[in-house]
Amino acid sequence: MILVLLFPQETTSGPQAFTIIAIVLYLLLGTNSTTTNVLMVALVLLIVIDIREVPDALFNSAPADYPLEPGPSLLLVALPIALLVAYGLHLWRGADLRMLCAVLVVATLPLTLALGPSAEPRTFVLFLIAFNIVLGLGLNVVVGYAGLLDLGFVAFFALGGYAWAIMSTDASNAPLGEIDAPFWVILAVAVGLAAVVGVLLGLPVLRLRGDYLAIVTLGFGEIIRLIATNADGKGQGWNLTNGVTGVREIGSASPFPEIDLGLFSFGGELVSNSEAFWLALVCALMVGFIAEQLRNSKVGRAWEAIREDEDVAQGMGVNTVHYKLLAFGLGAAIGGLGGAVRTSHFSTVTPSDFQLIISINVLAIVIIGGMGSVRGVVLGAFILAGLPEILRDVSLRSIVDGGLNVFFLPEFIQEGPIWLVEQLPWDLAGREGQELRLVLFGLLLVVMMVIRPQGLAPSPRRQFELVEMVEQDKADQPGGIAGFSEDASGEPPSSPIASPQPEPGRPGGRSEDGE
Amino acid sequence: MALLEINGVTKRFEGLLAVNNVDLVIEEKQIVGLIGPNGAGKTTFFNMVTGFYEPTSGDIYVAGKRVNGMAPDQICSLGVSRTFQNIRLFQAMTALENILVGRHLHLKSGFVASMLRLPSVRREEEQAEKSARDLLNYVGLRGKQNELARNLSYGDQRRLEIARALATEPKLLLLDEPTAGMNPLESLQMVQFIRGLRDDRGITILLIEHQMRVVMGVCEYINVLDYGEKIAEGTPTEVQSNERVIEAYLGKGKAAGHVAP
Repeated sequence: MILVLLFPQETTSGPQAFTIIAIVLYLLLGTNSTTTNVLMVALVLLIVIDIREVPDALFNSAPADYPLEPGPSLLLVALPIALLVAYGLHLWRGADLRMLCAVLVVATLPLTLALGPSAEPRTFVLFLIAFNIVLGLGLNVVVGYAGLLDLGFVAFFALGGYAWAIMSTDASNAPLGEIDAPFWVILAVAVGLAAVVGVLLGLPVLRLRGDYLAIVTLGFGEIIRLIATNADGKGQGWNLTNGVTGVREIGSASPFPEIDLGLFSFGGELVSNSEAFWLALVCALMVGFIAEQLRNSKVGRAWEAIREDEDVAQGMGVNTVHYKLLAFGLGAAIGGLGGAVRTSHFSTVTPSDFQLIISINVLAIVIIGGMGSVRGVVLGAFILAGLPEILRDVSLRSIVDGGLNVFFLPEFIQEGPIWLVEQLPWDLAGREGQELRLVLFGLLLVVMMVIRPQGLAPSPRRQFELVEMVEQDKADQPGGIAGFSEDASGEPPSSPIASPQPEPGRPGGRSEDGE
Repeated sequence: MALLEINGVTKRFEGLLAVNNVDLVIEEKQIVGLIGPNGAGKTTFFNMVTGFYEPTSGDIYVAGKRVNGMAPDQICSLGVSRTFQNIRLFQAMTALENILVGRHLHLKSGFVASMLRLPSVRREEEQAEKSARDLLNYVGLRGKQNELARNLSYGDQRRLEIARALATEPKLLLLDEPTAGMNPLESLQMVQFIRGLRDDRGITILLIEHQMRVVMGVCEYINVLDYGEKIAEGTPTEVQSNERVIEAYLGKGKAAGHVAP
């Protein structure tokens, strides 16, 4: 992933595509055996220090039109070092190397994007990933923490989006006239509106569980989209959303006034991809912090108890109505925030931006990442929001090419598979082979769910739980059942009432005292 | 004033009369048994006392307060807690977390404070964890705080369920077959443990139990249900010699045979 983003489009080819697959497969399949880890690190290094790329990238002076951007060469050095440090940590402290790899990929990505030529298009992918993390975290509160299956999450995304659109576009486009409210006001309205609607949705569905809840929320998502489509002021009612035309020329976010520090300045309107990315990243970090704090608190435990067994949770004093509404409200508020952030950068909003597929995609982020885990949502967003974009450059040929190239095979051996690929009736081999993108993506999701049903980075407990379950099953086979039968046979078969007096010295000695 | 006072409580599920016009009074610090053949309505009765079911008619008073129609969490806040016949722990949570859920009502941190993890929240969490650990030790689960509930042995799960109920700081504890599936030694330990709850902690206990040795050993007063109706009550000796009770358990012919010799 990282490498594809790292290199400009022209050089994005086989090795990088291969790396993506390798890293993802490693995250999926990797065990914690030392051999696998050594192989993996070797593979990553091998690809990073690809013989064709290194001399170019390392020793080439930066092109004249990018005077201050060290770009790929910097990363080519930094990433292997980081991986080596990670491996050292693994050997020294027994850190989970797989997790370290994932953290590294995630952590270094923003850095790579701010640097290097043609950073802007790549930063856009990052922006997509960042606001999808926000959305994923929001839905994770509802689905992952409280266990309430919500398939209408897009509704809150839409509410936040429209709140932003209506309040920050100019007069010619704005359905309610020019409001031009300050950033913080719009944000508060977007988040507050979504939260209120979230609670309102929560009220009627409080008694529903599982499938039924999913269906009702599904309908709710559609209702919001239909309202957005129809509230165009034609015929009855007011114009709220401009209907199918949507709202255009929406203003960007400007959280604080521009500060000029001579050499560079920041603040003001966040127009560029990278500025929008930083905004989305800050939101994601804030939401991630909140989600993590709540998970380890009274509130998170109450949610978890509800997820595990709602009746018992209530019996233990948890006000389930309150906490379910809280989950809906908080999830919706975060969804609204995601919508506002998205719209602040997309500059247009139409009802077709809020199809059901968004809800499904966000749910997939939560599930693939690992339910109830902030880390999982981050990984999930990278894969579900980032991968389809990254795979734009991948065609079958590039995979064949790259896969073989890694092993330094002579060119004539490589020609064979490529020739085969070119004989296919579809153009999967060339640049036009875009169809392959979603095929690959879909395949990856299927493989992922089969191999790692608990998600990529489940909350530690769940991971533990799954591992333990397997171990326990093994352990239980001889012992567990024997223990039960022993209980049954250990009890004397006397009828309950026929042995009225407790034997002396037996537990019942005290019954006389009590009388 | 009695801790629990129940007047003519009835529960009807469609055509089935599960509990019919039952009266019951429990004084503070009593250990009271509720027995009866399978399907007699004992668990339904528990469910009404703890708010899981709303009685069709009749009144339930906890410490003088009428609790009909109250939600289980409200009744819990009045000091009534329970365990379940088929152990119902939060399986995917650790032993410690299970108990911390039981502490829920006694944690005062608000939503926003928890979100920001203010120092006050941190202190409260630390205290809660400490008291949860104490409870674990008390029920004999020392060192198992990080085990997932589902991985505990059967007896430990029973103990954990009681610890979770104790974490709510109940005045009245309802135990639904606390020794089900236990061997005689474990049952003996449970009897001593239950007595300890009353003696050391002053908790009033109402328990459903099938093992007569346990019932007769620990209860000071026993109520017998059959087909939803209370057929007898009294001290263990009284109940044991009650004809209707013997009949309910053993059937008429058997009962006659029992009396004959």
